[in-house]
Amino acid sequence: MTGHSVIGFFAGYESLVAAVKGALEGRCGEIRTISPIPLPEVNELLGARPSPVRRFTLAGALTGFLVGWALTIGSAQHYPIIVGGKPLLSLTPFGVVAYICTILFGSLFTVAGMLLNARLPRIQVGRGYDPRLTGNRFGLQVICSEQEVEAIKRRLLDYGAEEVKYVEV
Amino acid sequence: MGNSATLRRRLPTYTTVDADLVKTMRPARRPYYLALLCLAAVAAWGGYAWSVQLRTGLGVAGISSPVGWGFYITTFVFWVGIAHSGTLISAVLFLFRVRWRAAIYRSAEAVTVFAVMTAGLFPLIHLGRPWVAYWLMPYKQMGGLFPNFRSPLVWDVFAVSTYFTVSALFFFTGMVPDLAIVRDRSQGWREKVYGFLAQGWQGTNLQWKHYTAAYVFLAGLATPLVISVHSIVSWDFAMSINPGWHTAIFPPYFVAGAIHSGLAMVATIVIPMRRLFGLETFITREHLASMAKFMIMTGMVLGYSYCVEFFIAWYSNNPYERDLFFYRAFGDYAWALWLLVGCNVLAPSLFFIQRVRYSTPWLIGISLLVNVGMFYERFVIIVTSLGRSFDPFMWSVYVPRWPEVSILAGSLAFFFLLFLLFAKVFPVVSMWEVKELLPLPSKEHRA
Repeated sequence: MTGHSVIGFFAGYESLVAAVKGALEGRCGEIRTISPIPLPEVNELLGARPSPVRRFTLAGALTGFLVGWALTIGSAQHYPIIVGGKPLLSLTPFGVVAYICTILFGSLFTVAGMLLNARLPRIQVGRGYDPRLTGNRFGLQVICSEQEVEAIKRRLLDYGAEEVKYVEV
Repeated sequence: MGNSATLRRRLPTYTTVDADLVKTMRPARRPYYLALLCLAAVAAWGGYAWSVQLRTGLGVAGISSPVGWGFYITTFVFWVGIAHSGTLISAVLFLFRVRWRAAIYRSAEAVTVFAVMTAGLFPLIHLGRPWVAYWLMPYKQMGGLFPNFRSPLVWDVFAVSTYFTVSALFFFTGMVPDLAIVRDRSQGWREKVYGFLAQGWQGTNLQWKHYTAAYVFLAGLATPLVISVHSIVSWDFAMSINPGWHTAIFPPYFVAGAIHSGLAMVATIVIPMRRLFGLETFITREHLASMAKFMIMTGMVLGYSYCVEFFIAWYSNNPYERDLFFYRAFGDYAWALWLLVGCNVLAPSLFFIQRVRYSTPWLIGISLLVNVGMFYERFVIIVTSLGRSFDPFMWSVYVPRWPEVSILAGSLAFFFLLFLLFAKVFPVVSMWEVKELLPLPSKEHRA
């Protein structure tokens, strides 16, 4: 099923913020912004919750920590041989390996979490995407019903959009 | 604040940022290809020297008992040290919100990734039989035996490979929004290639939210690596009982040295790049002066470490330590010790003079001296301690032979070759982070 949306292109940040506020007050439907730089204030306006990537980082770090200990202790027990007069389970040196594995797995899980949550990688950019939005323009996309399209277009123009575009989603 | 003020004064628009930085990726002219060719030739010569060593055996190199670690391990430690600047500038300075990093961190990260790649070759070159290097990997080998996790050499495998993985992830992740910018300004096959690399990035609020969160966590995870990787490399030495090696100061001493050499290499690369690509607006003299100030600090830490090493050798009353340090200062390699003190401590202290700090010829000259000094620092640590150990019967003087010198030259060429390729294929300055430093465009002041 095809949905409908309108994208407004803004040259100024203040106009974008005003349009976001207006769209929120007007209960226009799902809203998203597209911008060349991160806009944490707009995310706050949109009531975005903290990114769950942190949970992936924590899960990865804990996994790495356990893998590091399991690898070192497990291998020592699997083939019990005393080397250099050191104890079979030499916890201090094994801790070095566990520490490195913590960082390695934490990083890998962080990137995986980012890709999963940001819905990347994608073969193609989404419909209606415009190259100006990685350059020097801010975009506000409002998902709406077919009947609301014209009203939303007008409203975005009122808030200072330079241009509005209808996009199927 | 002065740096951002400079950027604001000279970079009024987002459009200029994109246009000026994408311009650096335009097809190159003849001198660029000539430079590539020369570097490829030197790298190939290094490859030939290695092939001779492989066919003939390690005997063609100067390393032999007791100096089993000569130029190869010196060069390995040198390159791992060089790699430290990238993570310091990109991750540590990011966490401290140091604004001048935005202009240079991409190049510094590239230095890190390429330096670790170069460093990774040297344990293989050093092995008599590099085709069995996979024995170092943590898997169940013949008879169920695993590598010895109590050995610092195995920690090193873990540390350096993790450092490479995390640095490469950080490097590539940081570049994704810029790759999307390049995609949007390219056509034909370039658009397809950059489109693939940009992974469909659009810059939606959802993508930015997860991206910035991941970036902070990656920076947080990479930061301890700046400290730990070279600490672990230093344990390759400090865990043994050799005079000159068995000392607790090694980890901080190595980390400071790594950052010192890394900053010097970044300056060595960034200054000519800034000139060739016309990036003076983005990489200002303020940025270079900030790096110089950092090098004053690392140089002073190194100077302190050198003094402490000698003091502890004297204060310990251990005859082996005392003799070794006396030998370092006045023996066969005394020239190298005094050279490294001059290059690493005295030369960067010239940066106390403001005129020197802001002069690019001085900056590049001193950075080159630091690069030389840092190589000899590792050389002196490794070679003097092995060649002058406990038993006088075993004492010897190490002299590198042509394959070792050729492979060192080849590694330098390989590194610069990778950087030259990077500079033409990827944006050398982070566009989205430079834009972040600019004031947000308003209606009156249109982007």
